[in-house]
Amino acid sequence: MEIVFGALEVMGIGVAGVFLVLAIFFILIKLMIKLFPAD
Amino acid sequence: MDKLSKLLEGINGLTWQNVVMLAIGCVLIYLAIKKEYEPLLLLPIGFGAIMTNIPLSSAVGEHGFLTVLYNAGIVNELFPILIFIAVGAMIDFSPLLKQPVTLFFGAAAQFGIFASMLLAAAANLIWPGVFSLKEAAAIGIIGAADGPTSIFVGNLFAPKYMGAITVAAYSYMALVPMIQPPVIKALTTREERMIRMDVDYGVKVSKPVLILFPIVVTIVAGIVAPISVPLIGSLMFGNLIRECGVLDRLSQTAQNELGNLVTLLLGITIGSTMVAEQFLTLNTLLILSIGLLAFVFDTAFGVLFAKFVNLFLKRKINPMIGGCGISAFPMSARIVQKMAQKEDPTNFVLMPAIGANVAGQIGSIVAGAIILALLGQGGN
Repeated sequence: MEIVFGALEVMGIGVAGVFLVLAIFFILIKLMIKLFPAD
Repeated sequence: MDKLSKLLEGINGLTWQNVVMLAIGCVLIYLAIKKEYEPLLLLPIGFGAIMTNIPLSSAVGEHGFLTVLYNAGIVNELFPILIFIAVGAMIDFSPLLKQPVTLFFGAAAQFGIFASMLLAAAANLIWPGVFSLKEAAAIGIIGAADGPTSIFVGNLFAPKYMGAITVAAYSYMALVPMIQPPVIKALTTREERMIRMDVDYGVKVSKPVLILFPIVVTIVAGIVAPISVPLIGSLMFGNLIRECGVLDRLSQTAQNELGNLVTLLLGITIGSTMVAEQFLTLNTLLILSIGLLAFVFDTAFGVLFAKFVNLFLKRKINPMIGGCGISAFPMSARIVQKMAQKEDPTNFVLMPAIGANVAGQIGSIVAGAIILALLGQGGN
């Protein structure tokens, strides 16, 4: 059972982590598009 | 008489396990040639499996060339890293940069990795000790639909299952056109599949953004998870030489010569890990089954996430786009475009689908890196 709880913990942190990192990328892309607009 | 028995050593050493593995190698070659399922990888993997499972084969062992290649390119993770440079040089990130919101589909679809990891860990409730947590994570990563990431994580966490994990990852990637459509169809209505989307939301991407993107992503991902630097860094390095505009020759070399050469060596080396005693086990069957479910979970969670997002949007997103958040590029995007046009021949969702698909590439590497960061130190 311990291994399942371990997997659940990795799952929770992992999913949140992926969303967090990609959310940072989202903000950075928006910022870059604003800072360097295409002609 | 002695000399004759030496000649017969190979025949005498042949076991039923060897015969089954030789047959599996032939099946992989058949699938690669006849069905064109990921031939670049499955053919070398199949042939590598054949060379490895011939009794007393000198292709493996201390001085065997396959073992030399394994030690030179897999143990130290060199081959997957080089493949990432080639893949990075092939990817055009502009569909993603035009619609950065598709990044979240690339995040949602990675849920399949973690759900499969949980499933592999839960297998211990039925067969105690079948997989350690690290092995479960390596199996889950099949859901990344990303060969190099699967090899990278698999080699660190589950070296004895490398053959099964890699074969599952590449086989199911080839089967994406069969796995995804029924899942997407089951989770969406005809009206949802007919939703139209703007091609590029009128956004144009400037050259500085295309150049800055790989640099910024490497720095940010590296700071968040330093262990991700080789994975994301090599992908983004490849992309930078593509986008910088002054390294066309290197970009072409990375896309063609480097990609082809490493793919050739990678496949045959992975095939050499398919040793009968390790491959013909219940664990392999479990890995192949969980790997298939990983692709189903990826697709399902991606679509369900898009439907959830639609609850809050005035201008709805075609939820099929969510299913493209996996790394199987550009197959997944093409499938969704085909499904959209089946319902309405004038509906074009290819660009947002490609955006989500490219986001899936980044998402899968980030997910792999996070798993490495979480489980990389100590524990089992």
